[in-house]
Amino acid sequence: MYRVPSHLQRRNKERTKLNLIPILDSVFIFIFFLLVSSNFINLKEVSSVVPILSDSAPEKNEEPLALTLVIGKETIKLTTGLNSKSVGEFKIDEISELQKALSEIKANHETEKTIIFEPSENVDYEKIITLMDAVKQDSSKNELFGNIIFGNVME
Amino acid sequence: MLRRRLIRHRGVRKKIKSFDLDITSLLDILVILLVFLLKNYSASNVTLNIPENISLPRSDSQEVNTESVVVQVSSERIWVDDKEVLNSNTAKSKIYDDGGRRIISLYNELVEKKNSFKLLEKATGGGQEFSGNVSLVVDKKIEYSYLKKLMYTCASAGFKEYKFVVLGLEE
Repeated sequence: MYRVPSHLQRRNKERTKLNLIPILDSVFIFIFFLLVSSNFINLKEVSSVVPILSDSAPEKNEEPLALTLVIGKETIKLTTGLNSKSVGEFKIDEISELQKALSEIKANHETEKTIIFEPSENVDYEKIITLMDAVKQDSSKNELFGNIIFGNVME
Repeated sequence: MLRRRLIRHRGVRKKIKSFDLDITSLLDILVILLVFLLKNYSASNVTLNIPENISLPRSDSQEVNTESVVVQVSSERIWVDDKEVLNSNTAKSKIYDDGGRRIISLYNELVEKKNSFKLLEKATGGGQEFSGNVSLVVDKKIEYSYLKKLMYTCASAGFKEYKFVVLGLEE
C-alpha cells in the first residue's frame, strides 16, 4: 500500500487563539487611571494685570496710543490718545462692529497690544468677559489687543 | 432497547469540551471608553473647586489654568483657597475700609498667604518665587462695582496679576 511521505503529510495544526485577558487587564488599568485624572468641566482663564504708574518719560517721542474702551450698561465708547479722542461708539451687543474698528486701529499700530478697560459700576462681569474675548482676537482669529488693563481699578 | 456501547468504543473517555467566553465585544466597548477618556484627559495638575452657587461666564479663551491662590466669589460670600473669609449675611464687624474700596477680611487673608509664600521662598533658598497671581472664580452676575473692590483688595495685598476663571467653549 502506498503511504504518503511524512514531509508531504498535511498535519492537523491546532489553531492558536490570541489570549485577550492580559490586554483586557491593561485596558482596565488605563481606564481607571484616566477616570481619576479626566476633566469633564473645561475651565480656562483670561488674564489681566494691574495698571502700574511710572514717573519715567516714555522711550519714544510719539504720543502713546492709549486705546481705551469705556463700557456702559448699554453702550461702548472707543477712545484713543491721552485726550480721549472718540473713535467710535457702539451698542453693547455690537461685538462685530467693535472688532472691525479694532482691526482698523491694529492695522495702523501693529506693535501695540495694550487696551484699557473702563467699565461702569453697573456692568455685569459676564459682559466684561465677553468684551475681553472680543478685543483679544477677531472672528478670523487674528490677534488684536491681548494685554488688557482695567484702568479704573485703583480709583 | 438498551443501547450498548460497541466493544471498540469501550475504555474511551469522552473529552469534556471547555466553554470559551468570547470577550471581543467587551474589549470593543472598553476601547471606545478608553478613547473617550483620553479625549477628556487633562495634563494640568491645577484643581479648582467651584462652590455650588457660583455660575462661571463662558469664554473662548484657550489659556490653561495656572497654579495660584484661588479667590472664589459669590453674591454673598468670599472664599480663599476654599476657606470662607466673608459671609455678608452673618458678618458682624466692618466689611470695607480705605474709603470703601478694600474688603478687610479678604485683604488680611491674602496678606497672610503672601507672607507664607515669601517665607517658604526664603526657607527653600532657590525655590519658586512668589508670582503675584490670583485666580478669580467669580459668579457671572456680579457687577463691576463689586469686582472693582475685589481687584483693588488683591492689588493692595500684593497680587498684581489677575486670572479670571471661565468656562471654556466645547471644542
